[in-house]
Amino acid sequence: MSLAKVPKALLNLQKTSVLVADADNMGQNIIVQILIGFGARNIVRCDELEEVKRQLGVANFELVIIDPSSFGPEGYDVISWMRRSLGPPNRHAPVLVATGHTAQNRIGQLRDVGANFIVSKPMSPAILLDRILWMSREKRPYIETDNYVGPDRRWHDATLPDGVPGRRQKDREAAARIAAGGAMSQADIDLVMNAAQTTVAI
Amino acid sequence: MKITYAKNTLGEALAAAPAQMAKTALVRAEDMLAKITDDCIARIDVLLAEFPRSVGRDTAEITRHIYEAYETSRKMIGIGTIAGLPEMDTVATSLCDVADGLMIRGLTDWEPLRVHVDVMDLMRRADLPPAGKQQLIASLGSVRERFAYPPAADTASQMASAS
Repeated sequence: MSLAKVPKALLNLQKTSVLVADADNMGQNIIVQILIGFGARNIVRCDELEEVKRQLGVANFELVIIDPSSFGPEGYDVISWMRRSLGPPNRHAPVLVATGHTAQNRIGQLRDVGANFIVSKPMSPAILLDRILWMSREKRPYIETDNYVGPDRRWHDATLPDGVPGRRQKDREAAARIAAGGAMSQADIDLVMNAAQTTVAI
Repeated sequence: MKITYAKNTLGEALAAAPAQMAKTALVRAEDMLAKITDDCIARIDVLLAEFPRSVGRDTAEITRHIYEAYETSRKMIGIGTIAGLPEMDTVATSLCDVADGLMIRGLTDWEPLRVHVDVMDLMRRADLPPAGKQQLIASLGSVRERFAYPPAADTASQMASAS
């Protein structure tokens, strides 16, 4: 179930500083309008990469929303730069990538830059709200290796947001068993219970 | 490998703010988006005008047009929905897939992009019924299937699960 559909879910970005980075003005406007609707008052908009880096160097942000493809090939590097070159708290700030289209030769790069979540445009307010809520509850540690710096990409027992299919073999097997009306194993029950706990405890 | 358990500052910021129901936030966000509908329509028209309607045979010129069409379409994705033209987002995404496939293979064929641009032009016509729009989108399916670069199985599943 979507977090946003939980009747008691709360969301107010009044105390949240958000950096919105998109080289296209209208792309920026759309995200900013949604964020204002969510209560955000401190929104910094950037349409140039140098400005993105400068802002990340001088102010703390609790949320970064960026369309790296809008900045060309260098746009993908800014998240890696953020994870490797900045100190906390911005080094670990949640990064939501909102991308219009990702060229095939950039998909691997996008996967490895260290973003917390990737969302495809068009992005509805419900999707953005759901992902923000999800990231606000995230407990994944940050991993630093020679090849990757960012949130742990192994999802362990964390429940994925609504509409995001599980990639693990056990996710698919459990879904198939439940859909077929078959008996649930203890592992299946644990999966379902874990999902329920995650979605109602806002 | 270094593992850091950082504070979730987003969670803290949300907890510190006055309570607002998520459904209220959603309604307000939709209201805010409604305010820029006309701007989005205008932006769609500006981007639409950037596509060339006539392309010569020079391969270097076609290559440039394919790249520029990709960029123009990429900018369009997401705006169509707010402009009340969600089909435009669908066609723009399809155009990006096709243009990306052409660029990866080094093909200089404008035709598959021309049909996308033609469909976009038709989509902007107010007298086109919804069923007609869906038919046009369906007609692009075979073009996309033929020219878009098929993603590798692992990257396709990665992207599907991440978006």
